[in-house]
Amino acid sequence: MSSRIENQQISETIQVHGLISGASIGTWQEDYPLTALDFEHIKNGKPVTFNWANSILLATLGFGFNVLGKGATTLAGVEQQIYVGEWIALGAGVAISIALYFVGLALPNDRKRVMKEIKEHFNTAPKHRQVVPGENE
Amino acid sequence: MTYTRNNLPSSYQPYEKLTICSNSLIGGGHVVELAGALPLIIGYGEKPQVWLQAISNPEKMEFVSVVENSVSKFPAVEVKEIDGSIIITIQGKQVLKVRNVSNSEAVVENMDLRPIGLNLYGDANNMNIPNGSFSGNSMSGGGVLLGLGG
Repeated sequence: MSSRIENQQISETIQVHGLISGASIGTWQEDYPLTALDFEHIKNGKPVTFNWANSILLATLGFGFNVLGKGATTLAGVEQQIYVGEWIALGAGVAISIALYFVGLALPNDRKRVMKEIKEHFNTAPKHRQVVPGENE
Repeated sequence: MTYTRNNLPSSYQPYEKLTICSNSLIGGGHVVELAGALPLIIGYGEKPQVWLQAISNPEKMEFVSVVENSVSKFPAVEVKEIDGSIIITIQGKQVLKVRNVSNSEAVVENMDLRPIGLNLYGDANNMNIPNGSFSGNSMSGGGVLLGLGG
């Protein structure tokens, strides 16, 4: 339909094409003002001792599998000596990684702080619903 | 809950004559119906009682009520009463101005339903629809003036 309808007596509903413009109601929440410093903190803010603890723990784990292999050989009937030094090395590896982990917990953790701030922001920032105009407008 | 012709608001009382952008609806009609829903309902009251339902999902034809009994349901929607007229604005844009003429008559002097998802707007003299316009027409018997074409 493309017309002007004037001064008519209308008795039936007039069907119109393209009535819907596609506006919609959306939920909106204030975004978190992430600064470059915050981003740096998220990227590099973890205490470096966590990484050390991680590396040493993995190395210790690898060594532990070596000891496990010897133990398994013994169980299979071929005597394999596990030296006391090997147990000490294993224990020391675990102890050092745990110690470094706790040192990391005690050090200031910027990443954790920023993450907590972001979480708090999204928990507390009020939500609004608002009309978003459609394409045809 | 969506308001339809069979499910009108309980406090809705039709005007005997409702003029929308120069087009008269006699005997309690409505200006537009979409998939059974009535996006705009204007009823009688000490001040005109307006219900507005915005299209929240055009694909599924879902509606959300933004004004009920001339009371806003959203912070972005403002309903004001000035000298017996109800004026509704959405984000600063006037969507509806309806004036109480008498107990049985009200006049819509300004309407722009585009912010709630409908290509329908007009002033006191003319109502624009996609590819056309309406003015000075009248409809009797409580029908619906415009429907959604296929």
